[in-house]
Amino acid sequence: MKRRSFIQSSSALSLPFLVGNMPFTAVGKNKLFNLIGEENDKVLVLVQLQGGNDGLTTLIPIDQYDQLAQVRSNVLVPESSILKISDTIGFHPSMQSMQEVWDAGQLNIIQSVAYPNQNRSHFRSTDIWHTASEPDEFLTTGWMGRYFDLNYNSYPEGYPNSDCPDPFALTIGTIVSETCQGTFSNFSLTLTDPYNPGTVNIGEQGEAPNNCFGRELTYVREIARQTNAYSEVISGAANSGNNLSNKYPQQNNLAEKLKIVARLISGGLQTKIYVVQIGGFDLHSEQVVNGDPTQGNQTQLLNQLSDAICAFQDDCTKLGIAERVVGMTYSEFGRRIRSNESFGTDHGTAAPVLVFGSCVNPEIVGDNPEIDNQVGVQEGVPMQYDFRSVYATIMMDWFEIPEEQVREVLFEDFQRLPIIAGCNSVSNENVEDSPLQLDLFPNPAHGFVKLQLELNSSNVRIDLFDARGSLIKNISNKSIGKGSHEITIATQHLPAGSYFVRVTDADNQVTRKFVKM
Amino acid sequence: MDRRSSIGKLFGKSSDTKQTELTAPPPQAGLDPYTGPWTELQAGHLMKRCTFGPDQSLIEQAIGLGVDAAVDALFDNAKVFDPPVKYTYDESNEEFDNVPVVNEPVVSYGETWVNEPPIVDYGDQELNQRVLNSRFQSVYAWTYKNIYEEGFSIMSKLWMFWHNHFVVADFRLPLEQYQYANVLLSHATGNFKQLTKDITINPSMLRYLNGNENNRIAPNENYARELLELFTVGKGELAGPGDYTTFTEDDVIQIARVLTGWIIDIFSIDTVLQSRFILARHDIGQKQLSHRFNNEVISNGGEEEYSNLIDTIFNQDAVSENICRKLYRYFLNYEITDTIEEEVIKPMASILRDNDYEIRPALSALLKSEHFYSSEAVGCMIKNPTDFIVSMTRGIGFEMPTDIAPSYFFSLVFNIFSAEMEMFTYNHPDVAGWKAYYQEPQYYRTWINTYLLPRRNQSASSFVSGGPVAFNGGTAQVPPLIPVFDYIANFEDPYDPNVLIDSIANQIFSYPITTSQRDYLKEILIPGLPDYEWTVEYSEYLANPDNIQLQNAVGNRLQDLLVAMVEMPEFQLM
Repeated sequence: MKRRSFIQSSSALSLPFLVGNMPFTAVGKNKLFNLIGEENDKVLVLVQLQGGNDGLTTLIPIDQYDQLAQVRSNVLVPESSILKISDTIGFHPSMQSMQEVWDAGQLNIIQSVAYPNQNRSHFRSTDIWHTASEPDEFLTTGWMGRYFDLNYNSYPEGYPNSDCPDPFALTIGTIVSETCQGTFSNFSLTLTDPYNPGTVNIGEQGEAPNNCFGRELTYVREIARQTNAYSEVISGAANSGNNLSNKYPQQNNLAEKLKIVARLISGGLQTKIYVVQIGGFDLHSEQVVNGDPTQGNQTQLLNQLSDAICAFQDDCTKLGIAERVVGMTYSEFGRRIRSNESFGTDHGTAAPVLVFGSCVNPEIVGDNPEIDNQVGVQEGVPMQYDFRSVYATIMMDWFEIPEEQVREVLFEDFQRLPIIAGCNSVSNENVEDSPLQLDLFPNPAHGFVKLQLELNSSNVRIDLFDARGSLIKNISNKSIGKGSHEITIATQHLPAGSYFVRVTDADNQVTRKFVKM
Repeated sequence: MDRRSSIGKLFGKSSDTKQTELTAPPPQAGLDPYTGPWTELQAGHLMKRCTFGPDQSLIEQAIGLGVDAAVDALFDNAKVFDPPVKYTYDESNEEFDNVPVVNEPVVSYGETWVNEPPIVDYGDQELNQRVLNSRFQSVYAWTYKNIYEEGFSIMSKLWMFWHNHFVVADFRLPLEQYQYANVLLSHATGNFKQLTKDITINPSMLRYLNGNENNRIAPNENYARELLELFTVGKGELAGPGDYTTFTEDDVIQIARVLTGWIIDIFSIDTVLQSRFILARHDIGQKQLSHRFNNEVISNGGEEEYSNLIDTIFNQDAVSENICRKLYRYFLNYEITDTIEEEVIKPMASILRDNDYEIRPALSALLKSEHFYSSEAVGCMIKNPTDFIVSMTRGIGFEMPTDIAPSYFFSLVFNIFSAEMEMFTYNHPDVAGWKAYYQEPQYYRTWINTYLLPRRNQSASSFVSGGPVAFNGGTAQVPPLIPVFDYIANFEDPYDPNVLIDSIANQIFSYPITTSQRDYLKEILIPGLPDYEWTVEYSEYLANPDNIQLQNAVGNRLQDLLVAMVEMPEFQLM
C-alpha cells in the first residue's frame, strides 16, 4: 500500500488570534482536550437532519436523470432547474446558498453513506448513527461519548476544573444528543439562551442512599451542580463573542442555532462538539406539491439547511475562526429510489453526508449511485461508505486523535476518506492515485459471479448485500496480497433480484451491482 | 389538629418523626402480593405513580383504604370524562378577563362543541379561525383539567400512557384531536386489543401514519411498520436479513396490503369526521405472513380484515410482553433486568393474555405486588413535566377554580408549561413517543438537563410566591398560586416547625429528609430564631387571620419554605 504522506502541523496554534474581546491568554492556552492531538483547538458541529433525508433530491445525479424520471417522476425536479456543480451532479434548486459554499471551496460531499444491514426503523437507525454500533449490536454509549470516556473517565465528578473549564459538548436545544453519551454521564450540556443559561439552588444535600432513589437523586444533583458550574463560562463566552455575518436568514431555526454556535466559539468557549438539529425530513407524503416538484416541504427544508450553513460559514470566516471549525450533516437513512403515490418517499438506505468548513477537501468523494429503471419498490440507494469511516476520518484528520483510540472507540477497521485538507491538519495528496479496480461478470448472473480485482493494498474486505442493503455474506476479510485476483461468489442459492458487491481496502472502496436471474 | 398538644411539645422532648419506619424493603422479584407496612411512604408511592401530583387528602384516603382497596378504587373510580366545552365568553366578562370573547352563533359558553361539524363555517374567516383556535385550546385545557378534577382515579395516568403508546402528533382540526383522545379514554382501563383495533382505523391515526393513502395500487407501509415495531409485537433483535425476531420486512409489506382501503373524507361542513372502507382500494389477494406469525395467511375479509389481522397479531406472546414492558417502564422503573423480565414481565404478560388483553388485572397485579413497593421502585422516577407541574400546584394546595373560564384558563396555562418542559401533549417529537420511556440509557433522565432543570426550578418558585416564568416564547408574570395557610392547615401539627417541615417533606418527597436538611429548611422558615417563635407567630396569625401585616409576615416565611422545598432535587423524583 502506498501510504499517504501525513504532514503534521508544526503547532496547531503557531499563529494565535484574538477572539472577541477575550484576553489572549484565555484562548487556546488551557489544557482542555490536550489528549486530542497536541493543543488541538478544532471544533466539530454536527447537524442532524431528523426523519431520513432524501439524498436523491438533495444531490441529484444528472447522469441518471432519465432513469430517475422513470422511477420517481412525481418528486423529481426538472433537469433544467438543477444547480450543477459538475457535469454529472447538482443540487436541488432550493440550495443556491449551498452552491455558494461549494463554489467557495468549503464543502466536501461524501456520496451514499449508510451503515450495513439497513434496518429502516427511525429509532434504531438513529441509535446506530449516534452509538456507531454494528447494525446487530446494542450500545448505550455515543461515539464521541466513548472517546471522552477514554480520556476523562471520572466526568462529571471533578469537572469543570482549571484544566477543563468549559463544557465538552453542547447541544443547542432542549434535549441532549446521544452522540456524547458516556458510560456514566452525557458529556453534552443543553442550551437555548447562551446569555442566560440559568442557575439552580442546590440547598442542603443529605447522603444519597444506595438504591435507585439515591442513584437518580445523585443524577439530579449532578445536573444542578453542572448547571451552576458551567453557567458562567457559557454566558461569558456569549457576551465576549460576536456574529459578523449579515447572511443569517429570518425565521430559520437552524440558522438561529448555528448563530449561537459561532458566537460561543468566537467568544473563546473551548467546547469541542456542538450538536444542532432540524426535523421534518420524514416525508412519506407531500414531500413536494402535487404538480410542482420544485415546491413543497422538502424544498423548504433544503432551503433552510442551505441558508443556515452558508450564513454560518460566512460568519466563521469573518470572525476568523473558520480554520477551527468543520460541520457535518447526517440523517438516519436516505429514502427509497422509487417515490410513492403520495408525492413522498419511504424509508431507504444511503444518502450523502455534507462536510462544510474552510479546511475540507472541496471535492465529491465517491460515485453517483446507479439508478436502474427496473429498480424494486423496496430498494434504497446502496451504501458506498460506512458512516463509521466518516467518523474515524474526522477523529483522526480533524481532531488528530491517535489511531489506536479511534479503533477502540469505533471497534472496526475503517477507511480513511479524503474529507479534511490543509489548515494545519493533514494533506490528502496521493489519495486518488491508487484506485481499486473491480470488474464483475457475468451480469446477470445465474449460479455464480466472478470478481476481477486489482488491489493496491493487501488487506481487503468483500461483502455481498441484497437490494435492501442487508448484508448477505462477508466473502472475505483478510490479507490476500497486492495485484490481480479473481474471486468467485456462488449465487445459486440466492433468490432472484438485485445484489451489491462492495470491496474495501484501507483507502478505497468500490460497489458494483449485479442481478441474479 | 390539637393545638394544645403541640404547644406542649414546645418545652417537651424532641419531635422526631417515626423516620425509621419509612423505608422500603429490598427488591423482590415476582408478583407476590405486598404485605408489608402501609404508611404514607407506600400509599404516597402508589398515588404518585397512579395519579398526577396527589395532594395530602388523596394520600390519606389511600392510607385509609389499604393496598388492595386503594388499587381497586383507582380503577373503580376511573370514568370517561365529559367532553370539552366552549370556555371562551359569549360577551365580555370583567370578573375574569384572561379568557377572550368569541362570539360564536351556534355554541354558547359552557356547551360542548364536539357534536358540531368538524370544520367551522360562519361565513367570516376571522371568526372561523378564532372558533377553531379556541376549540383547540379547549382540548388542550380539558386534558389537564381532567387531571385536576378526577380525584382518586387512575384514568388520566393511564390515558397519558396510551397517548404515549398510540402516538398521533399532527392534528388539523380540534374535533379530530378530541375524537382521538376519546378513543383512548374509552379503552384506557379496558381492553388493549380492542383499543388497537379502534385506533387503527381512527381518522387522525389514518392520516398521521398515511393509512388513508394506503391502497392496492400504491401501498404505503408507514402504519404497518409502526403497528408492529411500536404498537404490538415490538422490534426484537436482528435475527437475519430483514428479520427482527418478532416480525420481518416481508410482514410489513403483507400487513400494509391487509390495511389497504381505509380513507377519511375531505373535511367539509357536511362531513362527519369518520373513516370509511372502500373495497375498490383494498387489496383482496391473500397475504402470507412469515414464520414469525406461524406462516398465517390473511384472506380477504373486506371491512373486517384489519380486525382479523389484529387478532392474528395478538396471538403472539410478544404483544403482551412488549406492552407489559412499557407499562413497567411507565409505572415502576426503567431498568428491566433479566430477572425482572422472567419474574415480573412474563407473569404479567401471562395475566394479560389470560384475561383476553383486559388491562386491569395485569396492571393491578403489578400495583399490588411486593416488587412495586421495593427500594428499587420507590422514589426513583424522575417526574415527567406533567407530574412535576401538578405536584407543584395541586400537590401543595393549589385549588383549581370551579368556574369554566378560569378552570380552562389555568389548565391551558399548565399544559403549555408542560410543553415548555418538553412534554407537549398531542405533539410528541415522533411516533415513538417521549424519549423518557424508551431511550437507553437515559430514560427518565431525559427530562432533566442543564437547560430544563433551571426552568423547572424557576417556574416552581414563581408558582409558589409569584414571579416571572418563561412562557410561550416570552416571559409572563404569575401571581402566587399556592394558598400556603390552607395547605399547611391540612397537616396534623403545623405549629411545630420540625413536625411541619417533616410532614410536608413526607408528602411531597419519597423518603424522609435528613436532620441537616430539616435544619436548613427551618433556617429559611425562622432564620436564627428558636423553634417556639414559629409557634408564637403562627398562632398569632391564626388568632388574627385578617391582620394583613401578620398575614404577610407569616405567609412570606411559608412561601420561602415551600420554594426551597420544591427547588430541592428530591422534589424532581417520585
